[in-house]
Amino acid sequence: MNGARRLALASLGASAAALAVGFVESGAEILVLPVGILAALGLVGEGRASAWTPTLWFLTQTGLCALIRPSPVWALSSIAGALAYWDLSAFDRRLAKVGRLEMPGLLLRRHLLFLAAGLALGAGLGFAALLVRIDSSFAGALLLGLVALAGLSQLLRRAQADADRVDRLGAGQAERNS
Amino acid sequence: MFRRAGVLVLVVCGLLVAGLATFDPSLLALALPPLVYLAVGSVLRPNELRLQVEGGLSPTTAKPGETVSVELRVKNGGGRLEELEIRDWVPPGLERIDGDTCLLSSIVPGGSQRLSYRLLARTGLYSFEGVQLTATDPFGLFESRQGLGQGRSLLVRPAIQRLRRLYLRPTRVGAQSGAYAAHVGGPGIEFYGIRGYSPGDPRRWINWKVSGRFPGDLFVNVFEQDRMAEIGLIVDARFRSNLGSGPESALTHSIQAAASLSELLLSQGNQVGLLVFGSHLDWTVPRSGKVQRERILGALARAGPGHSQIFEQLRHLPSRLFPPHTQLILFSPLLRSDVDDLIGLRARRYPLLVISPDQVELEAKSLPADPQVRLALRLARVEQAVITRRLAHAGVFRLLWDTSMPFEQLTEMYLSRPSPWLASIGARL
Repeated sequence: MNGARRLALASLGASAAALAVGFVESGAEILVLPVGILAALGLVGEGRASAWTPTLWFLTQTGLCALIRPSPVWALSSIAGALAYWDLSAFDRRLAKVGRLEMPGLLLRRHLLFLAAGLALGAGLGFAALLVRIDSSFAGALLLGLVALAGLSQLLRRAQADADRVDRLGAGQAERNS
Repeated sequence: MFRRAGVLVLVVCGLLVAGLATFDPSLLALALPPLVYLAVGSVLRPNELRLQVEGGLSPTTAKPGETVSVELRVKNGGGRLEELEIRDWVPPGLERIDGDTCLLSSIVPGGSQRLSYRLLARTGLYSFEGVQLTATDPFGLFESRQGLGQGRSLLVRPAIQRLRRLYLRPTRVGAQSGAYAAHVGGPGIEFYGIRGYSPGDPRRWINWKVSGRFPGDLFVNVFEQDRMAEIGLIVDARFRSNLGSGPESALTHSIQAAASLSELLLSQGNQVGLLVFGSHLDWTVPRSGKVQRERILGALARAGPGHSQIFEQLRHLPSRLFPPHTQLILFSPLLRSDVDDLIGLRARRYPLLVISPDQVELEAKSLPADPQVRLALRLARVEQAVITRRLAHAGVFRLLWDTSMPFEQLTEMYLSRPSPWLASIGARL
């Protein structure tokens, strides 16, 4: 088992543990069992290098956090762990797809560096948001929400344009080859 | 890749909407880690790629079994790329011996990466699709692709066995001197006849014994002129007649035999044409010389098994591509249904020689040795013998080639001198 996969499994464990503790703390012990089953499914999927089990875990875990609303600290920790698992699992599959890795240790280190920085920043901002309270009117909150949605849709549009460009390039290349 | 970014956007939007709808700020806080992750990926996404690929194949023309090295150097003329996947697509049919066709690395501005591997050459013409370069952000959310290094091709010519001689008696010969008797008196080696002396004839041609019998007259020996011949090689690449694939298929043996024969015939100064039929017709106009040798070897390298409704039957072959009386040499395992078509071709006055790689022997190697298989093989051999006999009665010489014997040895045994059997049936090759 390589470093990326070990870390992915550790992240899955941490995410599941944080979620389970959050549920126990909020009196929803009954949900610990489904969390355990989902985590076990994730473990099995990881063994088979499945692409959908990390996504399933990420989406289900976020959905449970939004519905049951355990303690925000545990929920935030669990989401950060799930994100790390989702990322590292995909990274491991990318590495497995290629024949040769140029300095694999360096690639993993750099990836972990970016991931840790992104997660630390995201989780830090999340924890800060939980501590800071800003009173605003409904209109202000709505405006803020709309700005956030507009930003996200812009991001989505750029991503879509990127994907289209990649598809066009691929199609052009296939045409040239034929 | 875009699917991963979509999952993140879905999570973030879901949490934002849920937070706004329920007035729960903690849900908005939960959206921050995936949002920051998405933002980092977006900021570090690769922009327009400025990569260059150098290098290629060495050699670009090879013999079967030879090792071909592929050395590619990718240079980065743009910014730093966190994850760059370099993938070279190897055409099907070529076997990688060592090295890697795909590499993942990060590459600094002005830096370069090397991809090298070695291939085992097998007969054919291979076009490389090009190197696919895929750069992604560190999280693999956004990607940029560039395709470079197209236009590389590898020609692996069929293996040629050096043949020493081939006995043919073509009925149609050309004007230039060559290796085949033209049934016309003149300068040559083989004795042809005697005629009266004409002023200008060399003195060494005078037949003194005959001249002594007829005082007052002089007679000279006349020799048979040696001229070049026009020869058409036909390679059967139909799926239905060439079962199996790989280096031990009947088609591979046919191609090797055609290559070896064309080499010999062209070296004797003959005009040689080639017709390969399978999924389509690949026609090489009869010519002589070294350039023609390259053309024929290239066409043979391109040949692969194929299927076409039109060329399923030999009778649909455009025999008019070859002038009448052209010596034809067909390389085909032959099917029972081909016999009548070949007899028809012979009836149109084409001298015909058929070289058939023994499909039964090739098949037998991969079959278990049980009584049913033995019986089936025996029946198949009987069928082959019937085909050979029917063709022989029509004046078509078919040589069934057990491919465990080198083609060189086969030609030396059966095609290097006039066959008594042929003489007995009055056939002319």
